[in-house]
Parts: sequence; C-alpha cells; structure tokens
Amino acid sequence: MTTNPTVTRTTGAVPLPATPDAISNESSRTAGAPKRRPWILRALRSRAFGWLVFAAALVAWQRYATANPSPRYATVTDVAVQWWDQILGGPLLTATLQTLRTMLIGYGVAAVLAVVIGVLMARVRLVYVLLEPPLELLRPMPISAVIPLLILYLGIDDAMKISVVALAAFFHILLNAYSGAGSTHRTMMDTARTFGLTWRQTMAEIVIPAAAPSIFVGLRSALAASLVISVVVGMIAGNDGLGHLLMIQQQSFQVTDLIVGAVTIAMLGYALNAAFLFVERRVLHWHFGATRTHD
Amino acid sequence: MATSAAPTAAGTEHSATGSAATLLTADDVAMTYRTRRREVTALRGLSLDIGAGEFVALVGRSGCGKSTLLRLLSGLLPATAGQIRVAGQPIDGPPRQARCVFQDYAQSLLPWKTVAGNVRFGLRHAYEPAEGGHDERVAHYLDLVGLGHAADRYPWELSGGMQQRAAIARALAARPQLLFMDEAFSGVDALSRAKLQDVLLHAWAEEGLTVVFVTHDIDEAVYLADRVVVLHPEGRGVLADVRTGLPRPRGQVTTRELPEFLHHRRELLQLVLD
Repeated sequence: MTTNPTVTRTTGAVPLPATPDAISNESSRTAGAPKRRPWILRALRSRAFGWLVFAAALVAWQRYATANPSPRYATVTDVAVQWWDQILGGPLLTATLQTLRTMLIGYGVAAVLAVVIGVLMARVRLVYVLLEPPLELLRPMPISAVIPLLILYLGIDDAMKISVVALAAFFHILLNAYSGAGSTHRTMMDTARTFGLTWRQTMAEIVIPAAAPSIFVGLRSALAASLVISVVVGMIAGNDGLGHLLMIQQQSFQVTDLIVGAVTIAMLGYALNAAFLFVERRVLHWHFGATRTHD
Repeated sequence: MATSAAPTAAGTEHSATGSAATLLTADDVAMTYRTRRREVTALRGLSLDIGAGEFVALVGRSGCGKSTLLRLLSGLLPATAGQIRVAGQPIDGPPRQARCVFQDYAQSLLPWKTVAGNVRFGLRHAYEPAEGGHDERVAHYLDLVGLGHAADRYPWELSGGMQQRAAIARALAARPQLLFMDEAFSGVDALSRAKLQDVLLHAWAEEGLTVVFVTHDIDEAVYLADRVVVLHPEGRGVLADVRTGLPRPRGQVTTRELPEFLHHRRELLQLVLD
C-alpha cells in the first residue's frame, strides 16, 4: 500500500492513491513532514463535497421536473411542501408514529431477549445444547416466510407486528452477544475467579461489559433490519403504519405522497442511526479510546 | 528515584521468617494434561511449604512447570494428584485470601473502568472488608504504588509499567494474605521493571503480605526474594531451595553490588543452566 518515494517521484504529478484511506493513515503516522495535498484534492476528499453533489442532483431534478411537468413524478419543492404539511399532523404523522412504535417495541424485546439468551448460550453449556438446534434451524428462514404463520396465530394487530420485528432483529443481536460473551479473554476470567466473583457478578461485571462492543455491532445491524421489517409488515398486514400508507398511495397513484413517504422512512432511518451512534459513543467510549491508542 | 520506594524499616522484620506459621503447602502435587492422543505430565512429586510473610521466588528453565505450579497454587487449575492447602484448608478453586497479578496486565485490568475504578473493584471484592471510606482507601492504594496522579485515567492511556502498578494496587486493595505473581514484570521495559520491583517490595513491607513470584530472571528473583525455589527442568519437583537472606531494605544499585548477591546469582544460574 505504501508508495515508495524513490519509485514514484518521477514528475511533479502526485500519484493517485490506490485506496485513499490507506494512504491518509500512512501519511498521518509517519513522522516525516507529510506533504500537504493540493486544495482541489482536499476539497474532493471532504464530506461536504458529497453533500454538495447531492444538493446539485436535487437542483437538477427540480429543474427537469418543472420544465417537463408530468403526473409520473413530482418536483422537489412539491415534495418538501407536502412533507412539511403532512408531518405536522394527519395520516403521515399517525402512520410514522405507528411504525416507530411497532419498531421500537419489537427491537427492545429482541435486544433484551437476545442479549440474555446469547450470554447464557455462551456461558451455560446446557442452554447452548438445548437452544442451538432450534435456533440454527430458525435462523436461515427468511422472515417473510414466517409472517403468514404468525398472522394465522397472532392475527394482524400489534402482537403479530411486534413479533415479526423482534424476530427480524433477534438473530443479529443474538449471534454477536453469543460470540462476544464466549470470547472473554482467559486472563479476564482468571481475574474474576481470583477476586472471588460469583457467577452472576462475573456476568454483570466482566462478561457483559467485555462483550459490549460486539453486542453493539449486533444492535446496530438489528436497528436497520427492524426499520425495514416494521414498514414491510405494515404493507402485508394492511391496516396501519407507513407501509400501509404507501400501498394506499401507490394504488391511487399519488406520486408526490409516495415520495413523501419514502423520504420520511429515509429520514427516520437516518435519525435512528444518529441516535444510536450518540448512545454508542457514550457507552463504548472506553472501547473507542482503547482501540485508537492500540497499534 | 528508584530507591525512594524501597522498603522502610518495616521490611527488615519480614526477613526474619522461618519461624512464621505455614500459610501455603503443596503436598506431593502433580499435574498431568490429557489430550485425546496422549498425556503430558507437566509437574509431579512437588512438595513445598511457604510461611506467612515470606517472599518466595520460583525460578526454572522454560518448560519446568513453574507457571503450571503457580496456577495450581492459586487454585486456577485443579491438581491431578496431591493436595494444596492454604492456612491448613485444602483448596478447591482460588483461595479467598489470595489474589493474582498476571503478566498480561492489558487483559487483566478492566478497560471500561478508570484506574481508580479498577482499584474500587478490588475493594468491592475484598478478602477483608476495608476500614474507612472507599475513596480514601482507593487513594491509599494508588499512592502506595505511586499512581495517585493517574486515578481518573483509563488503563489503556497508561504505559505498561503503570498499568501493572494499577493491577498491583487493585490486588492489594482486596487486602489478600497471599499474592501470586506470574512473570508479572516481564512485559515491561528495564527501567519500569526496576521501578515495579521496588514498588512491590515497598507494598509487601507495608501490607504484611506473603508473595509467591514466578520469574525466569534470576537477578530479579535474588533481588526480590528471601527464598528462591528452583524447579527441576523436567517438572520433577523442587531442584533446590535457596535462602538468600540478603539485607533489607534493598536498593537497585547497592544490593546488586553485594558479594552475597553475586554469589547467589552465580549459584542459581548454575543450577538453572546445568
């Protein structure tokens, strides 16, 4: 990855880095005076540039949609105005809150169950032996294949929707909790033993904190899965939520409203992820610090 | 700088061991590791008595089973034969009155707790409950190892030597009678190591501990201990049990220049090498 200066220094041109990140890490670590990049390359590498291109695309879309009016698409300003009107009240707000509620309850139930079961499976042989066969058979099953069965048993209301979301989130968290709790360093476990910690104290004070970085990896991928499934389950059950709203709008060909719904889901996902990262940075600050100073 | 942390007058009382009551006994202990294909005997026929207040170093060639012995003595590994007793009681798991300091300090300190938090962990899981408030006990043990200024820092922000001092402070905060140390100083640089040795001697003198210290470094063994136990190279028990009786307090420069130091060093090196 490292560019050898004696080979690459032919003309004044800066050789294009193969992978920009590898090069930037390299140069920030080497003690010698790092060469300052030309401003154009620095600008191209900044995050603001990406958002600028995105904004330009919106402007292009707006101009095209205004110049060629059609019921098949909407202008950016129409979408923005509609979104603002609807998010303050009415069906969009109701549907968003319904979806968010289903999602958060299902996700929360899954998080608690998966962490408890994952840690127990990693630390209690009997639990592992008993739960491994059914969980391994259930895991590869697509969640969409389970929905009809759950509708049969639980109906199409909250119980079913929350179960489906929980099921979708469960395995992401379970696998990470299991592997995290199973790989506590031997010296760490010896420390717990020599300090006379009971089994419960060992779990609470050693195993679970040590597994926390791994558990958070699972929680994060489960968050994305929960949002997707909570929208989809609304489409299938067809009674409430953003999924249901989108289906109605699609059937009545309300293009602007459809885009408004999609934008709402995207923003919901963005906000949830941002909130997640905020919590993660606080809970795992020690982990990020330790891995940063480690070489 | 290094000598300032050396044991004070209290340390000299310690060296008058021998008459002290036996705290730790290993009675014809053996350890055989069984794999699917074969059995490997790491240690057999080992008997050892360690008195309360002693500072004993275990040395021997690599593969002589000294780390195995320490795991047996500290109850982390059950012996396949023989018996280990602490204060007369046969052990079944880590004895309540013992704590360990491991070589791998980075995996032993809790990275999600500050240095003070780690010491507080030792107080919470103590053999004898601490007298006085927790905060002042934490400060006491941090000062004892010279880490008072680093209380609010995280282990991974510190050098290896400072992390190992934090591990020692945490072990001492539990007020153990016995301290087991497994190659505890081999992971740090030479200067930090000398400092750690003096911190340990100081703490040993202050806290009235019994220390069993495994090392592959003969100089370290002679410098720290009153008694150096050499293990047989093929794991057949104790090869030699040398009482050095060097004067205390010890100093990194003065002690290492004593004729007795050099004499014991030569004697032990020959025992280990031959």
